[in-house]
Amino acid sequence: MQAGAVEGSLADGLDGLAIHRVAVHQATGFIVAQLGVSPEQALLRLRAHAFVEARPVNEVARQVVDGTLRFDGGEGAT
Amino acid sequence: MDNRELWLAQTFVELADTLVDDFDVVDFLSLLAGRCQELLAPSEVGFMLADHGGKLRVLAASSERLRLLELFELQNEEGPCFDCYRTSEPILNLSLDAVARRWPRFTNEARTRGFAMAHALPMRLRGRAIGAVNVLQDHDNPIEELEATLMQTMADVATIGILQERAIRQAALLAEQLEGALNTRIAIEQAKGVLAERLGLDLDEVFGRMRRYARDHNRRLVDVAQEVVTGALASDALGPSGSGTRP
Repeated sequence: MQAGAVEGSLADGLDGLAIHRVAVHQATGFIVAQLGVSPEQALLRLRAHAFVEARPVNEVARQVVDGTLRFDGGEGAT
Repeated sequence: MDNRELWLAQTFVELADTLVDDFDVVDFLSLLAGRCQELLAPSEVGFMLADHGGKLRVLAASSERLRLLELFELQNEEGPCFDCYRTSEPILNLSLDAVARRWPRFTNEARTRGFAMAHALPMRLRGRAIGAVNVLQDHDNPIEELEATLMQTMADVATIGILQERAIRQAALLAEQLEGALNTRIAIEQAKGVLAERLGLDLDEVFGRMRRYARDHNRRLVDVAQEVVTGALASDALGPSGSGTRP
C-alpha cells in the first residue's frame, strides 16, 4: 500500500522510487478529487502519465499542483 | 521585536494547551512555526526531520505554498539545513550574497523568492541532530544572541513535541516514532491537494480550514486529513468554496 494515509511503512514503499516529494503528495490529492479514486490509484495515474510522457514524476506533479495539468478532462487535461 | 515578554507568555500558554490536548505533531509544529515567524518577521520557518534514510523532509512550515516547501526540500543536496543537520551545529546570520559559491542552487532559488538571509538550527536529541529548523528572512538584519537562544529553544521544544507521541525506550522505537510523524505529513499534503481542487482555494487557506475544523471538533489534524482523502469527510464541511488562486 503506497499512497494511503498513515498506517504501515508508507515511507519505505516510496523511498526507492524517488517520488517521496511534497509536490507528489499534493498532486495525489488533486487527482483524488478530480477522478474520485483512492490515493493509491491517483498516484498510479500520476506515475503512468509521467512514464508515458518520459518526464520526471515530480515535474508532472508540480504541473498538477499549479493547475496546468488536469486528469479529469477539464482545461489542460491529459 | 517589541513586546517579547508578551510573545513568550502567549507562545508558552498556547504550546502547553496543545501538548496536553489530543496531541498532533504537525498541528503543534505549524503553531510553533507561526510563533517563530512572529519573532523574526518577516521570515518563513520550516521544520525538517530526517527519515530513516537520512533525508531531510519537511514536517511543518509557516506557509503551505509549494514553492516554499520545495525550497526547504531541496536542502537535501546543499544548503544551511544540510550542513546544520550533519554537524548538529547552528548556522546563523548567513547573508545569501556571501554563500552563493558554497550553495549555488539553494542560494539562487532562495534569492529568486526574495530571501536575503538564512539560519538553520539543529533539532537535537542526545547530542545528535534529528532534523533542523530553517529560517529564511527577506531582510538582512542579523539576529541577536537572545533571538538565537529563543530559536534554539523553539527547536528543542519541537524535538520534545515530536517525541511526545509515544514513550521511547530504544533506538528502534525512536525510528518508528519519527517515521510516524513523517507519515502524518503525507496524509496532510494529500488532503491539501484534495481540498484545493474541490474548494478552489489556495494551499494556505485549505490548511487553515483543516486546522480550524480539527480544533472546533476536538479532533486530531491527521485524522481530519485522512478523512478528507478517503472522502469520509466532505469538503463542504470545511466551509464555503472560493475562487482563490493556487498554489
